[in-house]
Amino acid sequence: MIALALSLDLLGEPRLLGELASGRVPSLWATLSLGYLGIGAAMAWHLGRRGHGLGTATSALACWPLLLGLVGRPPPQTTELDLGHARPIQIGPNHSRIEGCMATLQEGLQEDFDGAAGTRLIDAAQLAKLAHSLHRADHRIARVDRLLHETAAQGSAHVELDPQLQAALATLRGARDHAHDELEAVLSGLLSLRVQLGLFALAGESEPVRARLLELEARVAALAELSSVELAQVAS
Amino acid sequence: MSAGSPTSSLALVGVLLRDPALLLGTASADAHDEANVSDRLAVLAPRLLGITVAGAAIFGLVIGSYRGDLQYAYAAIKTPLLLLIPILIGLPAIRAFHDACEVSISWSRLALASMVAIARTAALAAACGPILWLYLSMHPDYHRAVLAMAGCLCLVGLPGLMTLLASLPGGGRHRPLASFASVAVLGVLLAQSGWLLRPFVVRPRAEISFLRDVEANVFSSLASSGSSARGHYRGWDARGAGLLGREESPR
Repeated sequence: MIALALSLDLLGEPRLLGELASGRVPSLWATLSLGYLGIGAAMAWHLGRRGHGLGTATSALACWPLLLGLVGRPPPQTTELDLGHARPIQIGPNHSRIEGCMATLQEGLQEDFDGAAGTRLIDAAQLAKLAHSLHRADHRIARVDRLLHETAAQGSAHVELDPQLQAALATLRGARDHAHDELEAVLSGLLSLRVQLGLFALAGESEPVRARLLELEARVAALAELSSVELAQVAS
Repeated sequence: MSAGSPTSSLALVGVLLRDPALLLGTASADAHDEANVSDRLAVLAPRLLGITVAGAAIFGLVIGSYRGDLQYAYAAIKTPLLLLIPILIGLPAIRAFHDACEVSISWSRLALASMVAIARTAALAAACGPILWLYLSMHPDYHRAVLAMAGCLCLVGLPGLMTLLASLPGGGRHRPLASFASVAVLGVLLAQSGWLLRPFVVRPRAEISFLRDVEANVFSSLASSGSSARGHYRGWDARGAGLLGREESPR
């Protein structure tokens, strides 16, 4: 409608706009409204058949363009959202380093592989997932650090610590150091991947970059599993 | 996404105002998982739309109070449309701008971010309602009432717009350009939607109507208002006077 009005104004035909407004707009409006509601009704019917709730189907009737992403998708497992578990993770001690590494890698992909080709090689979602895993590992280290610091503060306040607890703390410290070393290794790997990107781009090869990134992803996943096992041992 | 205690709509409004990123799951474990975002969209869409309609209707009631009578209902019906129409029409353009600037974003995520943004705007508009009502109850003149309404909408629209832009993924070479283009499109759509859906504020003795006849566009109206302000008064009717209100030479 805006484009139409601007085009007619640009052509300097205000009378034509007036004629259109007085003569044809009502039927045009009616047709557009019926078409919009018809598509909404079809989408509401589709979502209803797929098992989506009444609220979602009714929303589709009025605002179907917003719910196009639900077409063909099954309904969610639950009708409630637990906001407590969706809380964003807190910032860890290596937050800025991780962000820096990921930004450098992203820039490298765009510079060396000419933007679109870089996106095809490693997509943004893959990099974001890797960054998120690294932040989670970093956050776990921060939590362990905080726990150790609090325990040390209690120890310095002349509170006797149970020998069993001391042994658990030593194990926890070891697990923390191991996780930190692994995180350092992955960050170094990411930086070396940035260098390799340039070399691979010159050679016109992309497969080794993808393989290297998959290797780093596996290492980060292993880091999460390892941390869980080691922390479980501490807890027991 | 997990099963948990039911979240009331009031609690959802609290989260919407305090930390909207929580609803988008920007930093949750599966934030970039399409299925996860779609699940969030399916769960949240009815509630967010409900909050949008309720919040905007409250704001509309307040605007309608300037004239009273049927205008209460008319403004309460039209104000939610004023917030929803720009998003419904502008979403494909926003996505296209981001795609062109190498920022990949799924339709579900964009829709969820848009709904969170307009629901936040509507909640803030409802919160602004009592202040505007107090002002309108002092019987300001028509132009001041319109300015107060526009000022309130700008005030509550900015946090919503910021929410939308902040919830879109980072990266891409020309992300600021995509953001600027998105804001421009939404601004034009909001202005023209407001123009098509007018009147919201009606003079105390004027006749009440649900919609006015379609005439020209918002830019022509602004040009007419501008020339009236400069002393060249030619009545209240907007004229189709060329692109962005430029005058045409007489034939």
